[in-house]
Amino acid sequence: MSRADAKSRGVPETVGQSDQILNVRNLSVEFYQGSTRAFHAVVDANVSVGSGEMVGMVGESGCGKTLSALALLGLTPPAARCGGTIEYRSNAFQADSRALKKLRGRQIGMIFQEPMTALNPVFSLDRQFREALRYLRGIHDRRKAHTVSVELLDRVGLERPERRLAQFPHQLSGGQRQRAMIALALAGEPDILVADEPTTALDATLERRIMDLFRELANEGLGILMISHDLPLVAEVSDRIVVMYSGYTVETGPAIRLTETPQHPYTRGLLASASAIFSRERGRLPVIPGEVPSPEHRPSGCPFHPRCPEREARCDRDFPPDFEPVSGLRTACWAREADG
Amino acid sequence: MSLLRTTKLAKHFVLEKDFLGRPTEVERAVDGVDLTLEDNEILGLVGESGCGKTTLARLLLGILRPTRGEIHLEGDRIDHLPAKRFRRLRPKIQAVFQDPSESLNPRFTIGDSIGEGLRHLTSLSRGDIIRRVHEGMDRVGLPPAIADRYPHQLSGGQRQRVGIARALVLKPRLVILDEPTSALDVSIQAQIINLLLDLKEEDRLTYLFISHDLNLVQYISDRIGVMVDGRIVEMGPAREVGEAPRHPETRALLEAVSRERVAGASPP
Repeated sequence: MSRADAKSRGVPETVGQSDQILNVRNLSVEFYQGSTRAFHAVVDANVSVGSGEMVGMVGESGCGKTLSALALLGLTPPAARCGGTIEYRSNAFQADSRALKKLRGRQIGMIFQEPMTALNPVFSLDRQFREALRYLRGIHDRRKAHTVSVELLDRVGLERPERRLAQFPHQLSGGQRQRAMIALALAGEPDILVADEPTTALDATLERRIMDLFRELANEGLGILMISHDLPLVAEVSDRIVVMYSGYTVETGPAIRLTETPQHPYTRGLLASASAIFSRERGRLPVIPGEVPSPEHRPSGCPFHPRCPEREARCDRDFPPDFEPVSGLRTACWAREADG
Repeated sequence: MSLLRTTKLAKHFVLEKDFLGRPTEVERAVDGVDLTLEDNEILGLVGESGCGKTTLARLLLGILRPTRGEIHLEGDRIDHLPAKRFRRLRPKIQAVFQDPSESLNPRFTIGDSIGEGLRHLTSLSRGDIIRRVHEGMDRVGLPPAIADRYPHQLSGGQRQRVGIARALVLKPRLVILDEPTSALDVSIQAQIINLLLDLKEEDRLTYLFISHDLNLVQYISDRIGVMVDGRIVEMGPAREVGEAPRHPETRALLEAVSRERVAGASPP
């Protein structure tokens, strides 16, 4: 996608609260061993998705991004306990409630990283679509289901949908499988699609084509929450970005502003490392010292403080609230208190 | 004299045979590759998955035998050597792979893993091996206490440092880096790239850097080769290939990996 396309998307930079379809607040996920808490995987995640908006959630492994997605679909493992609220349109749900099951598939669709493990290898696509349409849309008539399936595959740009429906997952290429997965996730006519690392298993050229498809779907009104470790990729295709670090949302804002004037030291570090690769001269890359902490050994206060170049005395005591050092950006960092 | 040279190197895999054992379907994974690696350079090799990059690496490492063609190391032909004689050359060509958790033996301590090559390929004494292992760990930035731990107790970045130390202690000339940072987090990736660049200067190493990440390859390499269907379709100085690609495949790759917003962002 060229820069001109990005500008002509026509999505306002700051979407008002009323336009948000999905609003996740203070989400937490704790793991228990028996009745004792083993560790806090997600401490405080906040994200919202509007109609036709593509939101990128980025963070490194172990920061809690996948668990946040599973929690908002009510799919966390049995040993996990969730907290916080999930608002879908005007309904508020407790994060742990079974009512989330009703949203899943119908209002919120989900696609996973590796389509080969998400599609059933022993059934043809036709049969898998039929099952989804029967369960999610109450379509029992085979012929009707077939017609709808063809429409769905056509919508995601899979060529010769009639023929594809008769095939089994292993007969499709990686890109075709991922398109089929997206079509299946759209079977329940959701208005939000959660995509967890949807292109990590794909080559660069295929990745680009799948991103273009997401962009088209967003332009048609679908809200997309894309989870990724690839900040440069997310920056290019998203309207808004949510940066996670060690279980916390540390920075949120419009993609352009967040990449041009990042305010959180962690976002700055990530972008500095990522953008240096694009420079023409080979030299030492700017790095964030240290390692990503595991949830069991999360540092106190702001978990980024041991690696942070702008660390202050209070950083190891309290996690900072959100400040707004730059209009539109919400940054959880004590060093930005004076600016926001 | 160049460090390594291949001529018309090919590896074909027979997928199916007829009832007389004659091949009926052949996969030409590497199909006539002429490659030259100069001393102390970084040659980047890019291509989509399945293009033959890894098969080429395996041929150079002697893990696979070529179907056709020749490999010359420091002027001597090495591809047809019997296993025993090839062993003596093994320390010279070492590799670092993508996922260190898969290439490290989970039952070996870190120290044993790093010293494994020294035990098998050199006649050093136990004491010398331990000294070399500690020296290697120090150079890749691993604290000595880690020597007694096991791979699962390490972070991804630490495991990749072990992978690098393991290659380094053998004092190689050529190191084949096969997607060495793809499995790592972004903030760790930059640390590993810096380490690799430092080691290259200190030890006068030559790298064959294999990756699907054209941005990274363009950044790190002196020259770039683009591989499509077992052949190298374009080869030239990194900047030329990056800015004025001749082959359509290179152009498609470049387009796919361009990240305009981030490329334009100025580091604070």
